[in-house]
Amino acid sequence: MNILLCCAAGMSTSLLVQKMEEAAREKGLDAKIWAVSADEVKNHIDQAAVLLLGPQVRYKLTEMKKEGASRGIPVDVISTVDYGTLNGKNVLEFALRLKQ
Amino acid sequence: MKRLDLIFQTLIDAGPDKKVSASELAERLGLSRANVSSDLNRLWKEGRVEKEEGRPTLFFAKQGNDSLYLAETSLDRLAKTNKSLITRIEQAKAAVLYPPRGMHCLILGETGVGKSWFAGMIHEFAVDIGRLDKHAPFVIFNCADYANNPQLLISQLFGVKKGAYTGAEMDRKGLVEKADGGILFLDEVHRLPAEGQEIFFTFMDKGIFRRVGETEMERTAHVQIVMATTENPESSLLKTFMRRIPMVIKLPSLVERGLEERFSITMEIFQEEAFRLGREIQISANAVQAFLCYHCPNNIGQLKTDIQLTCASAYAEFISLKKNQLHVSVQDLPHHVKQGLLLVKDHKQELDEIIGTEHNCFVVQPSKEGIWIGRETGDTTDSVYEKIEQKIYELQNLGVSEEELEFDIENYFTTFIKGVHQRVNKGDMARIIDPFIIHLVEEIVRFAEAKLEKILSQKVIFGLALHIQTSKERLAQGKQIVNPQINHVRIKYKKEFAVALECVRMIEEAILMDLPIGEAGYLTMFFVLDDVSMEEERETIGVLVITHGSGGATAMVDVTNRLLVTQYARAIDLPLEEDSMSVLEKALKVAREIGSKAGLLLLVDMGSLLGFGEIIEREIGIPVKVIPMVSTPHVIEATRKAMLGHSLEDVYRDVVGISLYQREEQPKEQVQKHVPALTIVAACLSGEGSALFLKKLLESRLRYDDNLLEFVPLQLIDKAQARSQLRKIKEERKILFVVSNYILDRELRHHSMDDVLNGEAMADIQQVIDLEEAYLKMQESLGEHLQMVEGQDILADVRMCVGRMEERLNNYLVFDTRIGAYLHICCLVDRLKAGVQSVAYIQKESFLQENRKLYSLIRHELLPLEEKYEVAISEDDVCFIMNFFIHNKTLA
Repeated sequence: MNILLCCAAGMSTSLLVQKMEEAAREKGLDAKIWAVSADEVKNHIDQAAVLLLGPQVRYKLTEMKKEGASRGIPVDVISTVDYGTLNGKNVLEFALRLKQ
Repeated sequence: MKRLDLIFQTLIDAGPDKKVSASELAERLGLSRANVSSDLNRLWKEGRVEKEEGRPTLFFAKQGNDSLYLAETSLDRLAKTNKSLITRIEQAKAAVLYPPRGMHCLILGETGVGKSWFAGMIHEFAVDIGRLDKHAPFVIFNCADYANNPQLLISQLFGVKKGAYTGAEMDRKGLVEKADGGILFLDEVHRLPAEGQEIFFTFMDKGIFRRVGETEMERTAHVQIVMATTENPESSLLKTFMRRIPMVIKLPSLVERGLEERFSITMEIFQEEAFRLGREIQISANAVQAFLCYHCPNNIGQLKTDIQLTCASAYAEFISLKKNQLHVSVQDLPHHVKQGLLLVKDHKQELDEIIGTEHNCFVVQPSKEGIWIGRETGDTTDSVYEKIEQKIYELQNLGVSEEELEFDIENYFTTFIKGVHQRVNKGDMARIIDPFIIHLVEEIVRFAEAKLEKILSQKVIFGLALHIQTSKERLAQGKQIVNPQINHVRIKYKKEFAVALECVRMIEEAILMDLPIGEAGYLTMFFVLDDVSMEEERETIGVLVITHGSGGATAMVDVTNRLLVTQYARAIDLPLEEDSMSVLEKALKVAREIGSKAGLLLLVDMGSLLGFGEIIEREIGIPVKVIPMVSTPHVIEATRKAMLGHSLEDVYRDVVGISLYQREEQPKEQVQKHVPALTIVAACLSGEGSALFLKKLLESRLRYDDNLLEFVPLQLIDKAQARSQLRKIKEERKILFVVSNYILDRELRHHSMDDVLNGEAMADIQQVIDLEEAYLKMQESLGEHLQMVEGQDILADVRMCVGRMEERLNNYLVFDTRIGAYLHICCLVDRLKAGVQSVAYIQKESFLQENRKLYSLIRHELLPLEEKYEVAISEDDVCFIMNFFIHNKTLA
């Protein structure tokens, strides 16, 4: 499963990516997880099954949801606490729930 | 009449011009010449008659009025108005007249009975009767000033020989020498230290002494010693004194003096004030009665202070209101003096005899000889009520009319309580309200506080007093009091309403009037709407360092002040060549500047400096603690703690502890049990009732991690203690909120119990908990993941940096954005450190064009980060950060 993360510059989310990858490995899940900046999303979204936004780019949610809807990709914002605490496990589960 | 007195009287009667020989006098009186001659010589030795050498020797009365038996001396005048002092005055006279040079005497009596003054009277008397020369010295010395420093004391008393010790650069006279031919008054003689006693006894017994440092020469001085003490003469030190002091004069306390004398003392003090102010003072009979009856434990000294305060208050009014008379009435009295009126009834008969019933007012004249008289004054008795009426009229005009009352009762009360406080200052209020009502209100407040478990503020007390006074007036005038919302109030505030009903009953009993039920509604509002702030102006203690040698103290204080970026600590150097007295002067000066009611901490190195604390404490009347060792860490610790507002005791204990426990401290910290880093404090009066309940409520209604957050109940009964406990918690961990009905610390976020109980505050509290917890967890996870920087440090720095941006932009990031921003900037710094290329910001140029100001501001606030972590944050990076602020308010 491919999970795309998006934040301001794709910088802070990359830490979360590491954590989510760890969590996925533990689960025995084969997942491709990567992070990009908000402006890059349109170049990556076609490869993604789920798009998650960092809380600081919450303001892009409407715009991104539109993009996602046309492709049947669920889009949502990561819980601030999980994001702030780099809780990869929770965010991974959140992504899986969205996909279902 | 004794023979001696007969001879003396005969000479006096003959007048100073008539000189007679012994044989002439013997013949005239029919006495033997030998006896007359011996008596005359004795009289001459006592200084009561003059002698002209020759053959035969002629004797004659002294010139002028300065004879004991002719003129009235100061002591005689005193005896006239102070009958209780007559025996003491006789004792004093005897002590002065005792040949050859008077007798040493000891004056006993409570604080403030006038011991120093009496000693002065003794001196005056000795001059009056010619026993002492007109210019004979009267030297006063307070033994307590030097009680801790016997060496200094001895050198003060007996003088110093040049070179006796370092700094003794010339011969110096002691007080004993300065008092030669006069009287030396030693106050608080029980504080004379043991080392000083022996030398002093020798001087008392033999009249000889040596200056400090002198070995061979013995000096003599003729000094009559008068001592005074408040102590029990049975105490051990005094016993050794008593053997040497034949004359003990015990001055009676103010109570022992009786009302009649108290009256004349009171009027005398008023007269002194009149003299000082240069104008006539009128004192209402009630005020006089209060002064005669109030509890005055510190005797005449206190009476004097209280009268001076009263006159000052009346004078201020006189000046500001441009009255044509300086009138002292009950409203001008300090509160504790006013309470004297309650005791008047116990002394009614006696008072009537002394001050009469026909006078409304007493008048004292500013002239020195002035007399006071009772006088009728028509215009003064009603003025209190006039003022009250005026005030009430004002208040009615300000929105207390009956019609308006019907609108919004809560609003009315809020403005009433707050408004009263703003419009009328405290002093004013006390002046316009009947003392009787103030007293009643105090009782009500005590009762209500106990029942409601809450402390009512001063403004409620005044508000209530004014309200009750108003209600009383209204009722007396037959006006109705209506409270249209009484049912609403009763249902909403059941507990307060029940208490208010009790209070109404108390008022009814006190003013002997029936009150309408609506009144309870009003009182309820007073109890409910009091959002009292318990915080007082927090006073900090002063820190003063004094050490021997030049520059030592200054150096330590400089380091401290620079490290703490302050000018808080102060230094005085004591170069070896400087006299410690002049340093004491300096120390007193600095102590006056920096000392507060909270006190002064003195750090000194050795010697006489150790005694400074007590002297400063006495001179300035602030608590002083002395730390008899000083090093830079001591000064830093003392200053740091003092600036944080710790109490004198706390700072003293901590600083003294430095040297003792410095080594043990480290292992101790390691075994310290885990304390959650965050806390919410719930405070109530008992710390067990509502605080515990609140704690449980919060625990059950909030989401939180109990490894990180703990609820702490706090007891409020002792406010000072509550505050210091709060400070202690504050040092150990972060206090997110205080839940209490009182503002304990303005720096902390605060919710009232009501807000928590009705759930209004929950969302706010939850959000802060989330943020703080997220922040703490971020610290941990960042620590694990960041490669180039320390997670904890960078997060704290970023937080500070973002905080400054928020402040400068007046744009506070919402929770989500803030967490994102923290994380983003932390990662940014880490990546820059690692040399990772920045991400380009699309359409950077136009974006920057539009947001020039924001860019430069954020750029500027990022500087500290760039400097500390030695990274260069690119324009593109700044643009991303700008977005947090731009889109903060455009949340989805």
